Amino acid sequence: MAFYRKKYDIIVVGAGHAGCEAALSAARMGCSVLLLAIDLDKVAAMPCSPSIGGMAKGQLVKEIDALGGEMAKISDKTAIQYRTLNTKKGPAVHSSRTQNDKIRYHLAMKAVLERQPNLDLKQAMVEKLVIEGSGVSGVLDQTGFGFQSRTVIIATGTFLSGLIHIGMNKIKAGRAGEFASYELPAQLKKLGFQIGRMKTGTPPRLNRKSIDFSRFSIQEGDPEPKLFSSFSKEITLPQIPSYIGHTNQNSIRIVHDNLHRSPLFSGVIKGVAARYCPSFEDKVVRFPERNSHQIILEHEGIDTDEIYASGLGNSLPLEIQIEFVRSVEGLEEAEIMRPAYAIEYDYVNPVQLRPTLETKLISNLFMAGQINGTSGYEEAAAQGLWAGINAACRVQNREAFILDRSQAYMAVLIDDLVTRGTNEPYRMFTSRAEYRLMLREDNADLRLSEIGFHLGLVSPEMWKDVQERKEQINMEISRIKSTVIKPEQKANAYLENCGSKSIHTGVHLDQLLKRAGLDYESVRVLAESPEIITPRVARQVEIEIKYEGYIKKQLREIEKFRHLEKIKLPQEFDYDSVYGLSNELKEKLSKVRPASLGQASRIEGITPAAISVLMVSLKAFGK
Amino acid sequence: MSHSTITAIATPAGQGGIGIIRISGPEAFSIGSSVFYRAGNQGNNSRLLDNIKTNHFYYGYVRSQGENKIIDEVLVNFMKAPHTYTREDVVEIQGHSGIQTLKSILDIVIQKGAKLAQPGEFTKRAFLNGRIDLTQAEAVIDLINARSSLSLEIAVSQISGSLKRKISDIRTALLEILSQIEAEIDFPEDVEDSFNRKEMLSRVQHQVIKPIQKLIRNHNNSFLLKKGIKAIIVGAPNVGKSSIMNRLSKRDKSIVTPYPGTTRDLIEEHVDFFGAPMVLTDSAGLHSSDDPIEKLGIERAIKQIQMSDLVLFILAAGVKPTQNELGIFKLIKDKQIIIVHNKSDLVMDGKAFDMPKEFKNASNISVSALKGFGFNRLRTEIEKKINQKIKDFDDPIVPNLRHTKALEDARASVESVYEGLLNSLPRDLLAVDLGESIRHLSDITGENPTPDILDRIFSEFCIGK
Repeated sequence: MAFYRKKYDIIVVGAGHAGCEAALSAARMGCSVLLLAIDLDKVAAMPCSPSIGGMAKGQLVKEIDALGGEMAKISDKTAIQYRTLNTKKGPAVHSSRTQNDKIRYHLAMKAVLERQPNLDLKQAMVEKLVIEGSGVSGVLDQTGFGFQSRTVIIATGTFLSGLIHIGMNKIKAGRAGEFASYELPAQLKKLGFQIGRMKTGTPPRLNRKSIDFSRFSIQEGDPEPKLFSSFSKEITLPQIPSYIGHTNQNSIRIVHDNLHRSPLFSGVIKGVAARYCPSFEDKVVRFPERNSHQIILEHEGIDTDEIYASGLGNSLPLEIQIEFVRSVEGLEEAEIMRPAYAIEYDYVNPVQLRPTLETKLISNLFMAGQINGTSGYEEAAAQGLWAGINAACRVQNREAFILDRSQAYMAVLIDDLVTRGTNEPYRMFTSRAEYRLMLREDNADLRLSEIGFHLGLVSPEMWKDVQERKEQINMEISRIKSTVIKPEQKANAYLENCGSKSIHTGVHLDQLLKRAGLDYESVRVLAESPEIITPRVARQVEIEIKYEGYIKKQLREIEKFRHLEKIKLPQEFDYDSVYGLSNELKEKLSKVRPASLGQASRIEGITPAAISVLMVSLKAFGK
Repeated sequence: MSHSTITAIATPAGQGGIGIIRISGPEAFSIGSSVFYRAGNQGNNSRLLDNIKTNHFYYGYVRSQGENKIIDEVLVNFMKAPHTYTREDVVEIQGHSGIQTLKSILDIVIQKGAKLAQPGEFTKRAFLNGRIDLTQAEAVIDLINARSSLSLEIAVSQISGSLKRKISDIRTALLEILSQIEAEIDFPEDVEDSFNRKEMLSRVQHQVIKPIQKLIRNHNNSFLLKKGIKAIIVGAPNVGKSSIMNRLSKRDKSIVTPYPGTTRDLIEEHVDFFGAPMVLTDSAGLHSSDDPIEKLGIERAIKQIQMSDLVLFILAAGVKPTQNELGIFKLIKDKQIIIVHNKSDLVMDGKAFDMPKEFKNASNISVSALKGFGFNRLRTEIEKKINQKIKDFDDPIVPNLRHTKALEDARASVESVYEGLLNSLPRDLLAVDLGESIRHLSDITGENPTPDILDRIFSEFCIGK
């Protein structure tokens, strides 16, 4: 067996959104990294929707940015539309979303990878892990050529035993037109990993010139786009709208009449699909009362005529797809450039991972992204960053990088995965975060830059900038709290003008700012700061004061939560011998092997009494 | 070390006359001294906190917070860590005026920042802080498990689970409101934004706040809580009345709560019977007697029978009732009766004798106080009778003290939701209070405190339409 002469610290298998972030973060922390892609022309590909962000995903992207990751920057370089969602539902749930030119996205990420010191990007299809003792020491490609390393991160997306379905046709593929890996999942099974199967899919791509856009309504981006990354300076590409249309009863009838030709409904597909992302067959079956479903047409890029037809996802034979697509008003003449398809793939039940994303079975082996049962570029990228940092910490003998659920969405994502596992493709939602109010897009850099700086992923200048901003925010808050507004005519005229009650005695400015209908603008009018207050600082000041009561409440909750997080459970703790626990709970605890009592408390079925029992046992037998 | 301060009514079993509120934790001293007013020094407690003499009984009063009315005359003992049961700072307040007063004191202690102790929590802390030998771990675990399941069992069993159902209904109403808000937040492209503050206000008011208030009122006005169920054990001498009483009151030493009574003429035990407090009175043996002192005792017993809600009439199993026993039956026949055939271990068939017809019409249960047979059936039968009684007097659903505390916490959170709706608070903030109120109600029902809102959303909204 031939091995490459260079020995790496870290090999990353797969150069999708997880693999790219993993390789970049580890290389930037000073590790020598090899990133292997099956096809170098598919690095950081967007095989489904050409967009980044969205509900809760936007928060993940901002967090990746605050920790020195790449996704937000590439997104800004390639965005052709910006929108902020949920602006009317409260500051904690604002989420950014961009439409992106997918080819430019791929090229921009590839360029960053190529310029990155310590990082080798190579084309190879990995078919085997090299295992020594209970740890991994490298990989073999499909020709049997080997690469050696101290740690390996598997980020293979949908490529493990990938199987594409179009009607009753089955094609072994990781994505349309790309090889799938059947050797690697077989080896993982042999090593003792519990493997499950999931299903996802993608809608057809249509030729722009064949679409009658006059039958669609236009959805423009925000008039004042907000950049994703705090490192970005400007929008470089022209901004392009999307188009909203609807299917009709005829479309529904066509799919309904051909359900028997859908692999989804003829029992061919066994993988579990996500409930939040139904294919058109699903919609027809699950929502029979609806006569129409929304579709959105999105440009895949500036230099291409391909249009992503969101909402038309299906796994029907091509002849039915053509008939179905053309039933939609405005798509009567539409040419399908790429058919829709469904894909089944293997995933590794993530309860088999430690909170670092290292596998419990094989030391120095990490897993990140869709292989862990998640869905979405952003979820993948967050895990990639997390695994990359942790592999680097392992190599450099540094303390593991583990954020808790009160610090970041990515911590919620990983804690959910390793504690509760998942049996449907896991997507991030804001309702999964119990401390959502603290985990906002607008404060991601305030929350995480310091950690990124200490890891070596955020530059000293950036960290200094954040520190200065924090200081400005605190100073402005104390200034506002100590400013009293007198009941003078000018002030009252302003208040009445804003629809707010006039004042008759002196009132502290922070009390006025707390009123519904008043924002930081009222501070500028009533008692402007002598300092220059940037919009970013103003926004933080406004949120901190307006929602002070709720923020304090969450901070108290977080304090209680951290109490249990701090009580560590030894990894070799023998749950079977714990007196007074049901067998069911013993089994669950042995499987998950929680790192702390806090993590144990989030395992399904664990009661407060069981936690008390664990505390007592830990004291009596645990040490 | 624990970060929170806990409290509970902690009167040890078997002791009558006084009740003890125990406070344990870092703030025990400050909370204890803030509710206590020393006799002769009523205005100022700050000096007390600075110079507390530990292990010393202070005499004084607990006053109500608002009206500054004296609630009870008490003795307070401040005990410094680590020489206490929990090895934390502990304060014990001894009151002596009955359960209602003890509850009022507890309320004030909780208002001052203590949390109602979880089942078994004092003992758990004692163990974790090294007060109890490590070899006792299993005993401590047994105690935690027993008390936790008991407190759930009470919620489930009370009036055949109707309390649990009622609270589950309120919780479900909250879940529905929260799911709608979360669906609108997490699926802005799928779920129509139909948020209507007026409609929400009305739902919160009618489906949540009002039912919670009613339950809290039921607790506060409870016939049971004020009077308790009075049960009397009667029968001829030597049929085993005392042993039965002991069996009934001792089965769970942990739930025997002797409330301070007034009359000590008859032997009384106060038993918490699946959430319903019951006073068990062991009457003197009823038989005709010429002895004037015994006669007096019998007259008292007859009076007690008239005042009681439930009579346990004890017979010796398999033995034909005597004239005397037929006479006793006449005294009790208009009451709720359970005829208990004791010593059933001595006969093959406990009801083999020819019972009078009226006897047969009553509930008949065979037990052996000696061997402990039949007591589960007896308990069930007593519970049935209690429930019947409660139905006559009360709204059928009466939460106990722990449930009421959780309900009060839930009410506070829901009231914030209500105010937030009035003040146009954004939805991400409303969700915080909604989640909190659901957690409080889940404490009572044992349901998941952080339910899967997403499951609910997927089942109720057309996601990905």
